[in-house]
Amino acid sequence: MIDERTELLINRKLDGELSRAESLELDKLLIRSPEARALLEEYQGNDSLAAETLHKVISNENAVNDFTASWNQSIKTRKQRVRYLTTGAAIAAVITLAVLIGSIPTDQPTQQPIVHNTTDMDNKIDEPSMVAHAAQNKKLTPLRVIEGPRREQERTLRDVFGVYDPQTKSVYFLEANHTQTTAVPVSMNY
Amino acid sequence: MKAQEVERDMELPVIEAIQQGDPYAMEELIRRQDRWVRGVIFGVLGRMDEVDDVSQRVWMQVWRQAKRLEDSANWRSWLYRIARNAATDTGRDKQRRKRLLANLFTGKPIKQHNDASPQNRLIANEQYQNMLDAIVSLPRLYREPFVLKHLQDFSYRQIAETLELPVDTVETRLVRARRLLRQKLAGKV
Repeated sequence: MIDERTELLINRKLDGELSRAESLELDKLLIRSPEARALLEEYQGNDSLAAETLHKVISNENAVNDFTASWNQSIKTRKQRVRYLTTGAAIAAVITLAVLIGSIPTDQPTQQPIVHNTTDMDNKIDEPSMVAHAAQNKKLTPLRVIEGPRREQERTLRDVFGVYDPQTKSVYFLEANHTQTTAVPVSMNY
Repeated sequence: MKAQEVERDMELPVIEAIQQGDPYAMEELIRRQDRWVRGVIFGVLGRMDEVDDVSQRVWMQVWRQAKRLEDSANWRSWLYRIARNAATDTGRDKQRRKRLLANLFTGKPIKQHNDASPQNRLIANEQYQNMLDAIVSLPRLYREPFVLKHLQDFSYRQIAETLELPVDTVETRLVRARRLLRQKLAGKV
């Protein structure tokens, strides 16, 4: 049976950490104990095999080439990502701009007094500029019904017609703009 | 021991050149320190299958972060931290993926892949394979100093500095690692 001190000294010897005094102490122990000598030999054998195995398994001759390849790949990926992001941002900007332009009301909301005379309002509402929008206009709340403050908004609607001319083999697009007025009640706190 | 200290100082100009953005210095550092970095990763992961990938990630990080290294004399600890963190993150990710897959498909834990055998380097020698299996089976606590010792022949003090441990602890762990390895290899080597 090998005591802990002997094992510790054997380990220090193998690791090159033995002091001169400890070296003498270990030599004496090794002379006296065949078990200690066997252990030292076994540890020495294991250590050299472990070092050999680790060197064999862990070393990579192509480390530099691998790094260069990964670095080039990462640069390529980054460039690609930047390109995608730029394109995406441009598309998003165009869409946002289009939405903003489309959503800007042509008139600012105005607050009107209570309407008693309905003749003018009738004309405004029942006078659709395009027959195609008559059905849509019916859904609008007539201004004469609204009691109290109201908000009037005008929207510009666009109709696009395509006409094909077989002689010239061309398609002509016609754009018709017309304004639609909407009135909504406004609640106010006094 | 002395040789390691001299080598350490010799790396300083290389590190400083990398900080200036010199790619040749980077290649030089990889040539000199790749084995050590891979040793650290292997010590943490305890398997070889991902050492290549993780070491590539480590070198990329070194190249990108070199300018942020304030005290270039401390490059070894800095490099160790990068390698250890990369290996730890990989280990965590892999475990998480395994758990998720196990829960998702079978409800049973997935059978462990035999990580002990390196995928790209076939070890024909049975003795090497046995030794590698034994090292892999060591607890990380003992495996890390053991690998640093046997791969780079670091002194106790250097291992202690790298792992940020007291020298006595390093010595104790190495003694236990050798003892465990002896038990595992009994009758095999």
